[in-house]
Amino acid sequence: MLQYVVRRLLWMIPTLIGVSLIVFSLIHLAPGDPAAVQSSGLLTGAGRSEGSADQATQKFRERFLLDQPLWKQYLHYVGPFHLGKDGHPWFGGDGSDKWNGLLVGDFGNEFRRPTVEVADELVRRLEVTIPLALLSVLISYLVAIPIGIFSAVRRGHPLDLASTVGLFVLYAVPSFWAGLMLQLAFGKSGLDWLPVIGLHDKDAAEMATGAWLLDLLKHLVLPVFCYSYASFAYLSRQMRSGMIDVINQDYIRTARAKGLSEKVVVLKHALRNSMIPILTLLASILPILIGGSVIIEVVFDIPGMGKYAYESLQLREYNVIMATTLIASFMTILGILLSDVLYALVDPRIRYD
Amino acid sequence: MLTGPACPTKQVQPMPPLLRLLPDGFRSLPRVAGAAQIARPAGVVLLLTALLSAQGPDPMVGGGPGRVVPDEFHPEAGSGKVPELIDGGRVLVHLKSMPRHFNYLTENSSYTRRVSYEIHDYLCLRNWATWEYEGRLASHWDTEDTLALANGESLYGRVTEDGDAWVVRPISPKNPLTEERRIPKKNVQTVKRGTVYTFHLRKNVKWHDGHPFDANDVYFSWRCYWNPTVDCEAQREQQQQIVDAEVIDDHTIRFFLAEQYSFIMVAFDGFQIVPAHHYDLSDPDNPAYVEGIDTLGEKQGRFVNDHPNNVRWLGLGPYRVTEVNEQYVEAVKFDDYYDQENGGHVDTIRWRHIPDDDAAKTALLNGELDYFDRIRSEDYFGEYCQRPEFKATHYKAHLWLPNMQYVAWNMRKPQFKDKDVRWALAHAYDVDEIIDTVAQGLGVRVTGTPVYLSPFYDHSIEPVKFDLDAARELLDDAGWYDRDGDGIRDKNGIQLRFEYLMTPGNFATKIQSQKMQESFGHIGVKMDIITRDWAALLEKTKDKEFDAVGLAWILDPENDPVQLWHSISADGRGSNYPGYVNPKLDDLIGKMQKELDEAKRVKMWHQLQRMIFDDQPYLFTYMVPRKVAVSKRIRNFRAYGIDPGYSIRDWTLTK
Repeated sequence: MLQYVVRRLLWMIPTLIGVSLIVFSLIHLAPGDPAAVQSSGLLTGAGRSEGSADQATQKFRERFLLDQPLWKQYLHYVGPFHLGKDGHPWFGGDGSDKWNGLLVGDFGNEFRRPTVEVADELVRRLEVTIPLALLSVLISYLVAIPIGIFSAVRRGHPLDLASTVGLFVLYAVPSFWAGLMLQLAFGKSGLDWLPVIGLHDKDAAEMATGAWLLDLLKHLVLPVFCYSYASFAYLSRQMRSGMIDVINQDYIRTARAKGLSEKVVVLKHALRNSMIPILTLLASILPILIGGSVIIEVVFDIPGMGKYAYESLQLREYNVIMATTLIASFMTILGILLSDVLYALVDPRIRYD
Repeated sequence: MLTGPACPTKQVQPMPPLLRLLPDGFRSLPRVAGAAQIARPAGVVLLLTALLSAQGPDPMVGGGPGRVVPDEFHPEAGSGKVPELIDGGRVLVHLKSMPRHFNYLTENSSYTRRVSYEIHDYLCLRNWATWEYEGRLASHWDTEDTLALANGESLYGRVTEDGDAWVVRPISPKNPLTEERRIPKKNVQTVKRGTVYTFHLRKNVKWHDGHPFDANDVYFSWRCYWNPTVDCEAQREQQQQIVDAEVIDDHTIRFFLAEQYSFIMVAFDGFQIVPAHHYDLSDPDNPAYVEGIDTLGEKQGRFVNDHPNNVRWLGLGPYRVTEVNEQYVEAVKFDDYYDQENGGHVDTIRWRHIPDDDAAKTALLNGELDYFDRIRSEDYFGEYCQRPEFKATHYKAHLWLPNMQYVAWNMRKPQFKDKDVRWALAHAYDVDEIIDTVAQGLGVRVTGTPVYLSPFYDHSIEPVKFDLDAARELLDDAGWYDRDGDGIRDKNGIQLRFEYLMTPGNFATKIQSQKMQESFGHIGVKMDIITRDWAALLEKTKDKEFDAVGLAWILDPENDPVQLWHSISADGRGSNYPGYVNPKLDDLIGKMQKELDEAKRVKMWHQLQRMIFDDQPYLFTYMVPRKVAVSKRIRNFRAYGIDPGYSIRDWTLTK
């Protein structure tokens, strides 16, 4: 097993390099010039010729090696050698900054704020996004499991049908629309029950700890719901089918034959085994939630990784786009590995060579 | 038959609607009593063509030079109610984009300028109410002329002509010329007017850390523009009109220009002053002091570029920055501000960064914003501003900022080389209809890039009339007709078909482009609409890879026209997007740059506008106001005609 995990982990390296190559190519092939966006402010200013704007654009390109051929830019991005004029002496640099790139754990710097390292900013953003995603996963499971059990046990019951229809309708609702509707319904435009923007009130800095926490919780309600609701249908259907598989097993029939109450049969004997499929789903849901946080974070103005990715796309911040995509890819690959491992752990019949 | 497009003018000039606002002469506009001494660094900002509006209101309300009425749009204005004002409080102002930092020396964004206006100050600025330049950190300045003598000597002072001689009289303190001198003209090589500026700095000005402000700060800042490592390319060329500087004493500094230049005040009012005791590595007061450092060197340049105070700005303005994070920038009132009368009334300003406009609209309705200046037309005239929750807390207003929307024809393309084609397209687009319908009357037509509300704009030039027959006739006469029966005119094997590049925009811009497409179709011109996001559109426009592009300018009251219209700006990535090259115009621009007499320059501007209008490199469309939402708590809100159109220093909050 250990050998298998190590092998899979090693396979992640070429996979991620492949992903980086594809994303790198895509963003450079897409229209939009980061130098033009960064220097669009240079259209300001009277009394000068356009030479200064061109000069600034050139300086910007040189600084970030955007004036170099794509293959060189990519090699610089992957590392480990810095290929700029400050870079490694082997490649014509002055040696003041020899190492660079993914292979030395460097995601580069932002174009807009060159002193800000993308990795540092990402950590700050993930500190917001990951707790949100975890909370959403928790809520998704807390809601979906009971619904799934109920649907399995009371198959064909009108409530089963109603919950199935309801959850699939919810599944089909786009989250940006749901977010806007929730803001209208629960914000000052509607019931005025909940705050609808950001994670904190404008006066949060002056609040005592208890009030601050309460304020945070209130702010979390709508975004977390938006994060979670689409998972309700998916997870509850998985739970339902898992449970149906299990309650048709011989040992469940035996348990019933022993005269155990239906509650004990379902919750004690059937539940644990039927949980296996949806527990393994956990590993794949988390990266989807983190990757899919863009819309929610933009609608609710939450300063997480999704909003960072969205703004960076508009500004053609190549390093940030690369970093956010690679992190989402990494988490997906890791999630798949975790799923596989969890399968083996919870089901002894599964063996990996 | 039309004999070719000419500039239609009227002998009797109708008063354009917005000008009816103004007193007879622009120069005679009265200063608004009590108005903050508002001005801003100069600039031209490219915007999307998304500024359309619509309502059926009186377009004459709101903004404009000299007509600054406090609380003009407030629902309680004129009701006789006396608001209970408080001293202090906090305002929440929307910020669409978070500038990377607040040092305007190296960050040239319009958002930096907006915030800088409250957290920093300048030598001199244009007063937003009167549009006149006035001293800020400098109480006043002396302007002198330079006299270059045949023997190589150079003198400066106030130069007057007296028969066959020039008389030079020293004006500024410590002028090397101690007394008036009369020099025969034969001994004089050149006289350059207005090339020496001596600024007298106020003595009671302090930086936000309490350090006194003096001429060394100004001198070091000027040196920064000459340090090639400092990332100030956006302003470098403009500021390098000032070729030399000398500190006369702690509160007097003198600048020298190489050439006579009529737009030099734009450079002075955008001149960013940084605290030498923090930025100058050769200043012993600087904690990072380096003995013998070259202040024009790379180390100094990088130190300026990467200084932490660029983000947490330490300035000279009435508000000092206390917090900067991804969500907001907060500044509190600076008690030692030298001009308390114009030092603001609220205690705290929080610029709340919300990049998404829909999220910002929601924030506004939920009490998270007091001021939002990106209200879309469809919201301004539609349901959003009619909602009870909006009306309970906010009101809407509009600001007539100097802007003009246009379609740039790429004259490098064969179909737009022909002036008749450009005129025909101008005739085929019913701009008035767009103003009446989409903008619901809240817009005025423009015929050039001089600012509509300034004296530099020539109102005698009539906008092109919508006339499909005239358009067809022009195209026929120019040899563009449908030879192959496909419904599209052609000539020399080239179809009169083009791509119109625009951002996805909003409802109004979509309607506009569709109307244009439909209308051009009627005269046998095929227009394909291509939408690109801002980054892609900008790249294509700067690279001149477009046929036609819909854009807008926000302008200063007077800009050097070289950026938009000189042939040197047609090359490379310059802002003369159409690639309009007119040697006569280049010559005129050269003369305008030297002409210090504003009255004469006004005539030159009119001439420039007419020349450009005759050639129609742009399809000139209209000017629309910026629409904003203002909290009812804010009183003394004034709409100015210079970007950004408001000053937080004016605002007072009610209980």
